[in-house]
Amino acid sequence: MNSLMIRRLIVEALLEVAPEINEAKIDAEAELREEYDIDSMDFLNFIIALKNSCGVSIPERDYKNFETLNRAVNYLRKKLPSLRS
Amino acid sequence: MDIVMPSLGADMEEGTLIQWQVKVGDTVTAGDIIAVIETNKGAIDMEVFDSGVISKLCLEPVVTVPVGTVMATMVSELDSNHEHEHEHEQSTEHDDEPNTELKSVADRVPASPAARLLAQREHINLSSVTGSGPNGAVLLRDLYLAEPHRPAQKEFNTPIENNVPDDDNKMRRSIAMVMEKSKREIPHYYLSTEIDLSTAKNFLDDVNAEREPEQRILLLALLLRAISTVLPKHPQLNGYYQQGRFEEKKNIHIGNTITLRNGGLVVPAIHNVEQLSLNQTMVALRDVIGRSRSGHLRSSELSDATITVSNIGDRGADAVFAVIYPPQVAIIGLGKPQQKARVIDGDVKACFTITVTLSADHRVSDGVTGAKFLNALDNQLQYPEKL
Repeated sequence: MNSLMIRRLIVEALLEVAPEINEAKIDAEAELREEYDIDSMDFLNFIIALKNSCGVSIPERDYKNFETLNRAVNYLRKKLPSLRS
Repeated sequence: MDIVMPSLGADMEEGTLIQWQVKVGDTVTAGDIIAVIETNKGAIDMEVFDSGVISKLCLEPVVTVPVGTVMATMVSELDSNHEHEHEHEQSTEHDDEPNTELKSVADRVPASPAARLLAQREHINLSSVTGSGPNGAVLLRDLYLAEPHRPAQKEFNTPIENNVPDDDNKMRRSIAMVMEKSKREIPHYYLSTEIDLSTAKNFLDDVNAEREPEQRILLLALLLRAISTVLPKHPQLNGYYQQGRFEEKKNIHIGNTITLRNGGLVVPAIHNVEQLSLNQTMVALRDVIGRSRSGHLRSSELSDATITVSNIGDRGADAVFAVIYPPQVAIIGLGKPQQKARVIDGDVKACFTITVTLSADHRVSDGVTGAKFLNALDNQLQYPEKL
């Protein structure tokens, strides 16, 4: 799975909790929770959506790796090594 | 005349009544918006196609019904004259031969059945209305003339300024009405305390480390549980103040302020939190937040909270001093959980803290009650495993 595909998975999970986000305008370096008004329940649902789409159950201690879209992509790339292309 | 769920295209089979914009007795003109309905085309402002007076609302929002279902009835302008004549006939009949219902309450104010029904629904005291019917009987039209607080129908036609979507405007207006009433009538007092949540956070971290995301517990659920555990010992904070007296509630229905993504706010209640386990509280919280955003809250959830918790802190404020939702008598504000330096036994320690505030109704309780409640909450939160 390449970075673009991972990015796609993350964006789709994000859209599940914040459907009003304009995908074309996502700033990959912006703080996700600040920028898109993600509260703690939204964030939990985002993590659940990611688990459902890519099968990775992200522990709470790794939540800090989801501050920005770019960081999240890097984190998931490491978590999905067998799928890395 | 029946007002039915409209068909907005051949592909529409059902619609969801989101909100009434009128109440029984309102005068409407063809083209007025009477309800917000959610359809497969999004949220729709439902217009009325005739002019007259709304006589009955058959559905409680939020409810989904097939196209063609009767949602409300209205007396159109033409029907209206006819109905008054009809009432007149009935009243005359009753003069000669009162039915059993009238006999049993012979001393009550004479009124037509329709007027009585409307007065009951709208909490209008019939004896305060001058009747224009036979023997001074109160007729439907007398209620319309007498009711001074009935919003003029033009209120719904207010031109929309700037580019605020209409839905936002409506929600804004309804929040404005409730908050205005609260600040006009309720003498608030405010207390705040900083609570050390380090133990509670460690407890949750441990619990959640073992769990899949779907089963994880949010801090908010733990706080709701703690509140419901402590509240029974402070009954002056849980209940309603109405008609000059406080009515204590045994069950704890916690209203949660939930921000909708398109703007606006709903405050649905989680019922009987005192009877729920921590896990069940989390499930209920997830459920109610989900349905708030998808628009399928039950009418009871929006009307029977006995106390409210505002969680605006999750969005960044250190502390929130909230405004009470009448007829409730207290609202708890949860600030932003954050690390802070605290002095414990002479040593400075990094602690995970939250500022919890209480706004309460001074007609029902005093500051000392509120302070005791906040202290008890603090103590309870030092033993999260008991929640």
